[in-house]
Amino acid sequence: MNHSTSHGARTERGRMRAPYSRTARRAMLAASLGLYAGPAALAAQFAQPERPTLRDPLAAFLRDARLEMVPTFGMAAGNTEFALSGILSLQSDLRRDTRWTARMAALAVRSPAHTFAGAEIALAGAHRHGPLQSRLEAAVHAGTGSGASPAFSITAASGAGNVTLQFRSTWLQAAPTRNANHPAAPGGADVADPLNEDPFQSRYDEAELTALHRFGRFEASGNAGLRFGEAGESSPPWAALQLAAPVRGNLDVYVAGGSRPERPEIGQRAGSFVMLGLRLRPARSASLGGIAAPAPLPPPEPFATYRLREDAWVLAIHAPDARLVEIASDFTDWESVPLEAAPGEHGIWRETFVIRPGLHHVAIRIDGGEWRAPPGLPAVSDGFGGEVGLLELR
Amino acid sequence: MLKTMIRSTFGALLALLATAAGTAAQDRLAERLDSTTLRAVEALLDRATADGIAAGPLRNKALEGAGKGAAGPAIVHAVEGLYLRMDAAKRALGGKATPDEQVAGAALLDFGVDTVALATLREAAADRSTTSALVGLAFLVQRGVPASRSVPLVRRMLEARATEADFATFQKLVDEDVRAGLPAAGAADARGRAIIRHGASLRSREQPEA
Repeated sequence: MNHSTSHGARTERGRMRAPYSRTARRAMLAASLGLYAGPAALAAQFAQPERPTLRDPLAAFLRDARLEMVPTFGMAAGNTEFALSGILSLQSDLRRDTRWTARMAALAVRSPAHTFAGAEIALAGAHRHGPLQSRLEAAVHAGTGSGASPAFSITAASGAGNVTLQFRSTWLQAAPTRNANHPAAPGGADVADPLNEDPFQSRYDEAELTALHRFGRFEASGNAGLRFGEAGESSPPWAALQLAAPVRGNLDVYVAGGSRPERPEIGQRAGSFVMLGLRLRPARSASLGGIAAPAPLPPPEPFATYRLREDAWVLAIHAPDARLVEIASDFTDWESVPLEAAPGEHGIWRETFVIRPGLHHVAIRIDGGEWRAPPGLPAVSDGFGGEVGLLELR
Repeated sequence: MLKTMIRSTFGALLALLATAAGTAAQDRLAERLDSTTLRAVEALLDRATADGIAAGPLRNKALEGAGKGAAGPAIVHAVEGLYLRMDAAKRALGGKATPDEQVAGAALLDFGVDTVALATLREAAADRSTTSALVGLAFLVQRGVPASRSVPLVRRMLEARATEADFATFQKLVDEDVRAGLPAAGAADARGRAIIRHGASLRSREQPEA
């Protein structure tokens, strides 16, 4: 979570002139929360393995609530800044490969230049189709402090693996500020406050590419983007990097730096920044108003089955060194069906099948090898020189 | 009059659906097997149906062979072998043996468990299904627990009214123990004793004797 302030907000020597107008505040809030709309969040949408869903949609939605607290401290264009954000997200896997998320966030920013407090409510739907993941999100922003004003944004994102491309349109109730560092702005630091003097469209569109890479305990992410149209003229392209590492338990530390876009709704000006932050996850489900905690995930079993719906079962195989895992059974008419590698779960391959309750013969094949019984099942001769497993589902 | 018409229509619809399902299955066989193999397999299916043996598993065995690229004669041989074992299992388990019981019993016969053992388990289960118990027994035998030791254990579990869920839990825990390096026979004894002693609420994780 990065929050920046800029000397550019000082429009007159020694005095701040609407340094972070309502649009500026919104830009900061959106930028802060935009980090969570990046690849980490998108990949994390499907990082959790599928679980049996509950019949009650509301219960299913409340089943997995998460709370994150993110304090940050840093420097941006010569100003120090401290920010604190809290994010509560609720998600539900009502259907296979589809996840709905509701997010409520609060943000407080304090720097020598300004003080701001804002909030956001967002609703997002994410869908996985094969190797691709897509997400659509609508968010409403509001804030208090100088210049706070409501804003509304729509984000469409799509990605594969840990790379995501997203497009966002943001509508602002108040006119955005113009970047005082804009080359067309006369006078540099002495230029008059453009707010309300040079208002332009109350909307901006942008595209941003984000990527995530994990190596060992560390997680590196980067983002780069640009604005379109007239808004693009006032905001140069940007790029930033972030490196995160776990400290202990639910505490991560991260450092970020690069350049930032201008986000009128939270007053973020284009410029360079360096930030140090912590990510705390103090609570999950059980401590949030009595919402039932999901059972902790067991270590991967070589072969596992669990019911998704009335007649739908997920079959999962742990084969970390495999490139291709296939399954054949009477419920596939003995046609080989490739399993999908579960995103975010190394070595887990799974697929959902419609299977009648009862006894079934099942065989798996790894990397085109011999058909054999799944581990853990009684293996019987198939009559063709190989073996099949006996699987009973009730 | 109206009720009769409704019943007739309903019955016709059911028959149509059953025919369609059977036709679909036959179509899949016809697509996958050559004509010679198809005729031989269909003859076996007719024979099985006449003898009260479930045709579905036999049909699936033929599809399995086709899916695995087996030659026609091998497919016919495998289907016939399964039919004979299912027939023997049905005789041992009683005339009311379900298709799943026939299949599970056939698997045990293939492991070398005799029909007397099947009959013993049928008697211990009384009027309950023996499928889960047979699958559990197959699991033990396939992991090297002798039938002389595993059949009495499963019988005692059935007499203690162990449920399908109990047998599933039993199989899972024994598998975990074996993967952890414990001998299968000891793990089976410990887990089986726990189920017999505590019933459905399997709380203790007794360490099996080495």
